[in-house]
Amino acid sequence: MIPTAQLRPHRPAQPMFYLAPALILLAVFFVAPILVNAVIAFTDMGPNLRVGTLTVENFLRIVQRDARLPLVLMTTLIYVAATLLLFNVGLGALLAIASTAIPDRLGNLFRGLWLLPRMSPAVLYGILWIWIADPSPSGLLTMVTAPLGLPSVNLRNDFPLLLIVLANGVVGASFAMVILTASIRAIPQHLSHAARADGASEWGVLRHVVAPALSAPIRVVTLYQALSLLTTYEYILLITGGGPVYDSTPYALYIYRRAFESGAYGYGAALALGLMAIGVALTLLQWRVSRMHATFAAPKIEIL
Amino acid sequence: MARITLENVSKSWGETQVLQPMNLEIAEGEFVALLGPSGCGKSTTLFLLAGLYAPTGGTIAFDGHSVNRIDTRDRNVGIVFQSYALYPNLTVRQNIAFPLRFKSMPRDEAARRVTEAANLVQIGALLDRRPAQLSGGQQQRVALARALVKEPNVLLLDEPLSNLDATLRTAMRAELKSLQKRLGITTLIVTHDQIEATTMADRVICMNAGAIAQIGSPADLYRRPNDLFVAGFIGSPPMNRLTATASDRRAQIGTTTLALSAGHDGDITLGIRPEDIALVAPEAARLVGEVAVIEPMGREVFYTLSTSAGALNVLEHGETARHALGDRVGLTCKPGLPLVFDEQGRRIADLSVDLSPVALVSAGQLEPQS
Repeated sequence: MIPTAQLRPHRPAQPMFYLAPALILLAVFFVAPILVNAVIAFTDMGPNLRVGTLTVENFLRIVQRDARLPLVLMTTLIYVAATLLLFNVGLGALLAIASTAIPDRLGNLFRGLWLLPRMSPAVLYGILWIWIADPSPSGLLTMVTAPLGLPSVNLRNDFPLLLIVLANGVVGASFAMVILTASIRAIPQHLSHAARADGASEWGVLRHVVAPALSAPIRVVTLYQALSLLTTYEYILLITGGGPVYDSTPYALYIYRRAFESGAYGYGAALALGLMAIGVALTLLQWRVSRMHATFAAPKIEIL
Repeated sequence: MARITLENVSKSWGETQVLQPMNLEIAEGEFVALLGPSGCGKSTTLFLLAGLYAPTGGTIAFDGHSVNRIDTRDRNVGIVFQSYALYPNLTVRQNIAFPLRFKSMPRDEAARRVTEAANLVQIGALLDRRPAQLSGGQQQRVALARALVKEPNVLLLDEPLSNLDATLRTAMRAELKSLQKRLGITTLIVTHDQIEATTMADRVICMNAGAIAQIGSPADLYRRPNDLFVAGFIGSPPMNRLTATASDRRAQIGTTTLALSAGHDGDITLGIRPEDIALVAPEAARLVGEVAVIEPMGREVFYTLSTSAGALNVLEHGETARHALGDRVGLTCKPGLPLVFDEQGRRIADLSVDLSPVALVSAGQLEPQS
């Protein structure tokens, strides 16, 4: 018997005490930059970092006078949609399905290889692509095409969008590959056995068992990768620099070029706010369209 | 309906042989149970019949035609899995209709068959639900309807009742049995539960370590087990085992010497089921023990007796115990029992040990209580 007097009285929890470190981190690194950015967007801050006046001029410029913006938006749309559909989701799903259909060891090796570009430094990876695309006799593509009698192509100059889609796609496909491989592995084997007994071919199993199991993770991957493609530009900057001129400059890189190449910090901040708005809108849209809340709900398969 | 023949069928995964070459014949419309502990190869056998695994050696034939090279989807087998394996994204109706998608069948014919199959297993009211909205027992019925809807030649049940609660399991057992008799489909059920096997099947195949230990009717396996494995696996509470040493026509059990029905030399094991032992007065028996534990079980009383040969379990009919803790009691049984097993654990069919009552006591007291 334990004397009741020795039992510690129940003390109310102090959530704020435990949450404080996380809240401070969130405030400093997540919320503050957005606020600072929002303030700068309403200034005429330039390369000397001095704030002259508070103004809505930046926003008027975006809407009324930026002649490059329509092209940039179109480039963004093509770049994001093509990379996403062909590589980050399409190729990723294909890799996941293919690498789980072959013997395990081979599949692991195969997936490991596809993860390599993600592990290598961006600069190294960028240089590789520049070497591949170089039109001179020492460029990799030219070395392959020249003996075949084909004219050398200057990918960076003539097909810059194709090049950045390829470069980003080859890196990006591994994300979906990893996530979808896990999803495929999580399908109970009995389910494909049942489908086979019910008369389904390999294709039927893929369509009726694998595909339904992948639809939810594909929605998550699509959203996540769309946002990621919208906001990152490092490979593009390294490989084409956004050029020629602005031909391969999507929105995120455009912000960078405006802010850091032209020194228009105020304008860059205003553009960045626009990107955030696009991102939020996209998330909400996808949430609605794809009933994403179902993805985060408790699983429906009873684990036995 | 198909007759199934297995001829020297074996299965290995790499170096590991999980199934020894096996011969088996299942008659048209027969209900057969594959019974054995986990890892004995019973599910492997089912998967081989289904065509989900390919045999390493031997021939599997349906109605005399080898199906070795025939895909699962062309074998016309219905399978019910332990986990039910329902398609989570489809409704009950779509789940049951799924096998019909792959047959060219008019829409109304398919719909009629789905309703028929659903009614057969009494889930006609659940057709528009999804698997996640069903209880385990209901999911089980959907899986059964899905297996039956295409009118399979062979029905394969892989531990179909294992995930159900005890009451439901008893009900489903009877239902499955009557359904099988009504439809007359050749059926193979895989189970580790001896009650399931013996209550439902016409014939039980008891498996151990990748080989058939014994094939027979439930009564055969219970009364005439081929070896100690079958003897121990079938029956609950399990058969008592006593080790003894035989020399010529005598068996030495602990401090007791008993007569053997024929000459034999070497170590033997005596096997006797708890309900086959009759407790009598110590003077009237050749083997004597002391009551160590008494467990009233309602209809029966379960005793644990300690004898010089070791502990023995005895099941006696009656609601209250006729003996008290520490009582000395005599143990007897019918002629022909206990069964005798040799050093390798195989039953020696024509050998028995005399545990019959001693003659000087009047016959009325000696009849086994069962």
